[in-house]
Amino acid sequence: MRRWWIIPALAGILVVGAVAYWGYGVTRDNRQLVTYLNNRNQRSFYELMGNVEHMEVMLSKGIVSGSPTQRMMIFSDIWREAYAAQENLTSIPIAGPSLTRTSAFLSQTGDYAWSLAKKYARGIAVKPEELDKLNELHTEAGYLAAELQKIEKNASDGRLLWSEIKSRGDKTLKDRTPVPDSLTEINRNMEEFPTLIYDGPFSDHILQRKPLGLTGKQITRAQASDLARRFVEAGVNTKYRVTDTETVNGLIPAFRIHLLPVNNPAPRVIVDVSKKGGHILMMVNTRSVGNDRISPEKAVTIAGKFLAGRRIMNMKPTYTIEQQNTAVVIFEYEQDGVLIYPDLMKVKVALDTGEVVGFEGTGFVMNHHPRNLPKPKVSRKEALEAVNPELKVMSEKLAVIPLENLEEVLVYEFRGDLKGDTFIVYINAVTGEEEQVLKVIDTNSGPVTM
Amino acid sequence: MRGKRCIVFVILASFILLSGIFLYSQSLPAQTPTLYWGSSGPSVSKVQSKLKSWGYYTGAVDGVFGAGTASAVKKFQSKNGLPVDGVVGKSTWAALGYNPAQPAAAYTPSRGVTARDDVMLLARVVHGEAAAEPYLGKVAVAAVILNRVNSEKFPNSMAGVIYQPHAFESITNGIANNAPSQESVKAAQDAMNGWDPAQGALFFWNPAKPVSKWIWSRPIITEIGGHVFAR
Repeated sequence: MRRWWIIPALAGILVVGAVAYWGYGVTRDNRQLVTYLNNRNQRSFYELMGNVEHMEVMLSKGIVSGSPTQRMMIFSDIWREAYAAQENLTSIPIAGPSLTRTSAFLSQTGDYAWSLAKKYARGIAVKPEELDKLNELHTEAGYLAAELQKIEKNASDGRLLWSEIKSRGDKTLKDRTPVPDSLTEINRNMEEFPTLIYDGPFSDHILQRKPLGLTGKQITRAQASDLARRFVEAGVNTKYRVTDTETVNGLIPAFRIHLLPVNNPAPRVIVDVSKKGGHILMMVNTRSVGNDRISPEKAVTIAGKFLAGRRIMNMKPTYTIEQQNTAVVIFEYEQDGVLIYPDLMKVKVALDTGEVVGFEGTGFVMNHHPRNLPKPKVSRKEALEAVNPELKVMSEKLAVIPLENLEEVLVYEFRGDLKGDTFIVYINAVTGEEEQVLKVIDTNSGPVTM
Repeated sequence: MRGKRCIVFVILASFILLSGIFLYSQSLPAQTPTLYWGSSGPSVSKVQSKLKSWGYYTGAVDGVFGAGTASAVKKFQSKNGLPVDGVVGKSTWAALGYNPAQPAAAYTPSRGVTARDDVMLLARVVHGEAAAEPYLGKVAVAAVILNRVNSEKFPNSMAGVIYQPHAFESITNGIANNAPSQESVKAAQDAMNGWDPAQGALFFWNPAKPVSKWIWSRPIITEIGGHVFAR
């Protein structure tokens, strides 16, 4: 019975040892994770710095170079670097959207360079004032590059933290500023640079564009409720009552009207009516949809009748997306036999009963306006010459499509087949240039163009 | 060994997928017919505008191959080491930067893209952020993500926007990895089809939770359920 305590003592030592070993493992894992994440942030930061430095150099080359071919390549490079810079910037963890100005600068510069590269590729003359803008961009890129270098220097000297992520052990690091916070500071200073004015997809005139189809007088909340109720009731047996009205202050200020059937607590229908002119922007019926018993072809007819019943005329169905027992039918405005692609509306039909459960008209209100369509200067036959001869053309029509800068062009649309793949080629009906090639991809929810 | 095979298989599969994506992204080359004195049409205009921008041609871009165009073509050919015949054939087209129409034998029909998985990714975030919200609120959250993809202030891809650090709480804490409800999938699809109850909003937040002061300075568009939406 001597030394009875040996066994419990040994067990105790074992337990303490096991806990220590386990704790050591956790700490090591934790430290590895922190290092891993910090390395990722460092990588993004160094790549961002490289991208911005390249951008600055390329911008200055673009100003100096005299050859269009050379410029085309330089501008493509700027676009690539700017795009990569933005991806790297947005992968650095910064709380809150405090880098939006820097991000906007990178997008706009890249996009502007791309638009110039395209002009050179097409042989369109680039105006001197367009090149002057490069000077402004060059100054701003230079500022950004210099500031990034300052941050890098401070961080490698240990005055800045690489990341907000730190292991709890590192108490000494507590009072140092993390790199992301310094980036926020740059963003604040960049607000003072002038913004770029040009015609690309990210130009300020497009971001702040006005709805072209918003005609008519201001309406009251009561008038909006009435319009919404009539829109929902037209051609339907159910009567509705307004339960609630709200306001929406988006691109198109609107009243949001909530409706319920008169004798029923469900389903809720929500309609947005523009304050100016009382245009219906959107309708959503929130009921659930059962198994489909109606064909998509029938749905197209139903959707057409739905629009006609609401005195929405000259709309032509162009394609249908089928998903979750519903069919979304896309309609385009037709003027003198020409399809106007920017003026579109969507009608969603439930395939269980054939009831219309959704309507989307914002695109139409944003773009619709009276247009003077030009006469085609290129004949159908000449336009066809610009299309790859291997494409078996199945259908063709005249249409108006929007370009990236929202400028509208009259085109011949050729839809054709190449070894089982469907392509749509748009040839400018005035200049004869190829404007766009789309590929139609069949997905499990209907065809998609890319 | 099994693990290695698995890796090889994954690499092969992604290679096939990538080549599919590459193939469909290739556009169709435009036709480049042989042009000579007397030709006319849009391809002549193409040559003229190109030569004009490069300083070889001074006349009007009228789509008619006349004396001026011919001498410009000859000048261009001699400068570029091409046979100086004044005829725009294959080699001259190529020197002008237009590749001749490729034979279709080189084209393999693409089979790389079948479904769009973006919907599921979007639906998971919608479910993580707005599971308890009304249907319209779910569509609005999905629309905010799509508005960000289209905005110059945010990354240019859906994955970039969704996985941007600190952008969405449900991504940070991992809740968005759960399978989305049917309603969230429907909401994601509606938003991708163009429904936007948030009317262009770029931000949304729950006023019941502590949020940064900065966010309240954004112009508010509307409120849906428990979320405030703003530009």
